[in-house]
Parts: sequence; C-alpha cells; structure tokens
Amino acid sequence: MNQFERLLSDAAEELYRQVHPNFIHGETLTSQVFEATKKDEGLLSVTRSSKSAAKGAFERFLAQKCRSVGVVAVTIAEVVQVGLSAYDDVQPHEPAHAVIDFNGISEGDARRTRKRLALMAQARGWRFRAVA
Amino acid sequence: MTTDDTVFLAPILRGGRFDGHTVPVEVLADLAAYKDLVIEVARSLYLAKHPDRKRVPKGFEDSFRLTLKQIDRGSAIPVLVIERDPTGDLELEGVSEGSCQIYFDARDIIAECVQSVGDGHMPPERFPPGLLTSFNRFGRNLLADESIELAPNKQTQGVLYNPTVRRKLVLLQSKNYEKPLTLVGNVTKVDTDNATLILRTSNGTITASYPILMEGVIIEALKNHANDVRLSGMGLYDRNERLLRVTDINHVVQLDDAVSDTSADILARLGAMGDLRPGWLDGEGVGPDQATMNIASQILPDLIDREGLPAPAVFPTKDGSIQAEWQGMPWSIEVRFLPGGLRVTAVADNLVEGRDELISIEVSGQLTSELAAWLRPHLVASRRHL
Repeated sequence: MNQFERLLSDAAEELYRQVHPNFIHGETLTSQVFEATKKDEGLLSVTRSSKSAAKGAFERFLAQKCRSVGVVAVTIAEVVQVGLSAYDDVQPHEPAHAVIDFNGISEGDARRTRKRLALMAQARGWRFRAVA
Repeated sequence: MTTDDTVFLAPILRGGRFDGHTVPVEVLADLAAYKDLVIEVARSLYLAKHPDRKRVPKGFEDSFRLTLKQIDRGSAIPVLVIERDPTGDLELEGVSEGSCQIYFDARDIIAECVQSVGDGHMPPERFPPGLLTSFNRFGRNLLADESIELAPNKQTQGVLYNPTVRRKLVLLQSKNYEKPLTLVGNVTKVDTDNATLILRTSNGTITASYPILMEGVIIEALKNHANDVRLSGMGLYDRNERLLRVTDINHVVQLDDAVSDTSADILARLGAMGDLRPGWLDGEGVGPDQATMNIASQILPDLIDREGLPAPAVFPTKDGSIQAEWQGMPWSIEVRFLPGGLRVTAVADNLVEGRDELISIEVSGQLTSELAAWLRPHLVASRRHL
C-alpha cells in the first residue's frame, strides 16, 4: 500500500495517544505527550479508534512493558487543522497502529503543534483512564 | 491630529508590556531621557559648527520642546512632535535655522549610532565622543524582551534599540551600566545619613541607595529583618553582569516566610523526580541531576510566592531537564532548567500567530527576577485573552 492509500481521511476518527505517568501534573498534560522522538523518525505513534477501543489500546501498550496512566485523543480533523497528516501503519503488536507525521516542519512549528494537540486532547478529556 | 511636518519621532515599542497598545508610565521616563540625549547631541553639533563659541546660546535647551501627542496602534507608537513657538522666541542664532534642523540632525545621528553599534561596528565619527554613557538613561526601563524601533515617522522603517544594544553602547565608554532588577533578602543595616541600606541575599550582601521619602518603609524592613523583603529598582552592573550596587529603589514589599501549598506541591513533585532512573521513559531518558533539582526547587516557589506568578505544571524531560509549563492562549510557555543547573531557557509560543520568543539565562542571584520579568507580560496577555 503506498503512502497516499494509507492516508487517514475520516475527519471524525480519533487517534489515541498513551500518557506516561510523569507526563501529567494534576490534570495538566505536558506537550511532551505529543512529541515524536528521534527513534520514531518524526512519526508519532497513535492508535486508531475505528479499529480499537481506548481500553484495548491501553492494555496492549502495557503488555509491551511500557508505562501509561491512560489514553487521550485527537481527531484526524484536528491533525489536519494543525497542518499535519496521519497514516495507517499496522504493526504486528498493534493492528490499529497509525502515525502522525511531524517530518518536514521546523522545530518551532513542531513545538507549537505539540502544544496545540495537547490542548485539544485535554479539552476532549480522557478516552480511558486507569484506576489509580 | 498631528501633521507630518511636526512629527519628530514615532518610535514603535514592541514586546511584552506593549502588546496591548499601551505604554507603562515607567517608559515615559525613557522618552524624557531620549529628549535629553537629543539636546546633548544637538549642543555638541552646535559647538562643532560654531568653533568661535564656548557655549550654546541662552535658551538652547528650552528651544527644543518635545511633546507626546498621541499613542497610535501597531504594538504601541507614541508620536513625539516638536512644538514650534509661534512668538518666534526660538529664533536663536544658528538653532532655529532650517526649522530646528539641528535637532533633526541630532535625531538622525543618534539613530545612526544605534544602528552601527547594534550591527557590531564602532559608533560613527560624527557621533559626539563622550555621549555614549547618555544611553544609560534612555531605555533603562525596557525589559529583556522589549525594544524600541527608532522610526522618524510611521512611514519609515526605523532602527532597533533594545537592552542588548543599549548595554553595548554604554559599555563602549563606561565600565558599568544600569538595568532594572528585583532582589529578595533581609535588610540588615540602614545608614539614614547617606540613605543607603545593606541587603543580605542568597548571593551575598549588596548596598542599595533609597529615595529619602522611602525611609519609613526601609526602617520598618530593618525592624522586621527576620523576614525577607522583595526590592525592585535599578541595579548597577559591570560588563561581566556582576551586580555592583542598587542605585535606586522604587518598590519594597515585606514577604511572609511561609511557602504556599501550591509551592509545597511543586516541591514534592520535584522531590519525586529525584527517583527517576535512566530509561524511565519506556527505556529512554535520564533523570534530572541534583544541581538541576536544587535550582528548580529554589526558583519555582519564588516565582509563585514572591513574584506572585500562577503555578506552572512541572515535568521531567527525556534529556534530564526539568520543564515548567504555563499553558494558555495565545501564549504557551515552557521554562527549562537544563542539566547541570547552570542555565535556564524559556520559550513562549504564540499559538495564534505562530511565532515564538526565547530567552536563555545563566543561573545567578537575579534569575528569579529576570525570569519573572520575562514571564509576567506573556502570562498577563494570556489571562486577558482567556
């Protein structure tokens, strides 16, 4: 499947993102939640709501020995609104895996984009939250 | 309405406090200092033009009347106009010829000097030697992120004048220069004869001169010397940014020693970050070192309890920094205490206009006040927006 075919276009679809326990203070998320690392090569891992429930995404994430306190989400419409694209990216460990592509934008634009996405996700609220 | 032929300067004030198209009253003193600088340069030009004269004609200074006519929008643009004397009293020999041309010449030479030194060159030869220290008064109330574009009118692009350029100009001629400061400490001694006090801060003791009318407040602070005071005013610094003395005080506030619950929460959170091990972020990341923790633990409560700023959310970062975030609209701000505890960087992102403002500060006794001065206008602008 080429990149064009993998492009996600359902504006209402939500993309889930895991929240590390150190990345929430009170009810405030750090914009680092939406930071793609060098290891990710600018592609931020998310999970598609059309293929998985938030709880299922959370459980599969923990099964990989990663840490999370819950799941927040942005929509594909919001991803497009901030000037980015999202692509389907099925992985053996996560069939609902997708990525938000941060490549090709400046460091400052990437930082502002992360902040905007974090604000949007916070405004939407938790899609799943582990019981403390 | 002003007419173009009388406009002397339409400086564009940019940065934090000017974003609301307003001019803080302190900055009016800078406009007055600019007027004095123009007169000094004009006097020097006059004497160079009239080598036969030892001094300028009587009434020379009074012949230059600069008035703040209006504040136009576009950040903040105070329009300064020359008042012409309809009675003809300004007909001083060699001064009023060519419609006060000597003052317009002085204005242009000042702008040329600012441009040249700002670009890393020496002042132009026609700038009167010996007057560089006069820049000390002009612009000393500007904060780190503020600037003045010295535009002769609204149609012409001007020359950028900011605290960095001002510092360069003054230090070309002087060993020291002044800038605003805020200090926290105890008043341990007062000399009422000389109107000075000794303030003990975490960085050592410093002598401060106070206005005589403030004596009552200062004596009160001495009586309560067990409690800290926050003192705002003007500091004299050397070229290595070492504070030499406080030259003026305009505000003294007695502080309560107690740490607020909000600060206690942040201190507890910072304490927990000390337990982070390498790989804490799903196999990546290092924890903050002790020096970084110490600085963040000192500065963040001070910003909240002493500077009165809202509490930030605080997070570790993958590279071992500690990041304080004030999320808002249009400004979303991150302050990073970098590993090693020697430097702090801050970035304010305007999420509406898609631009940013950055600052990098070495850790020193003035870090809290410098950070607060930089943060405050952005936080105020965001609160207003909300």
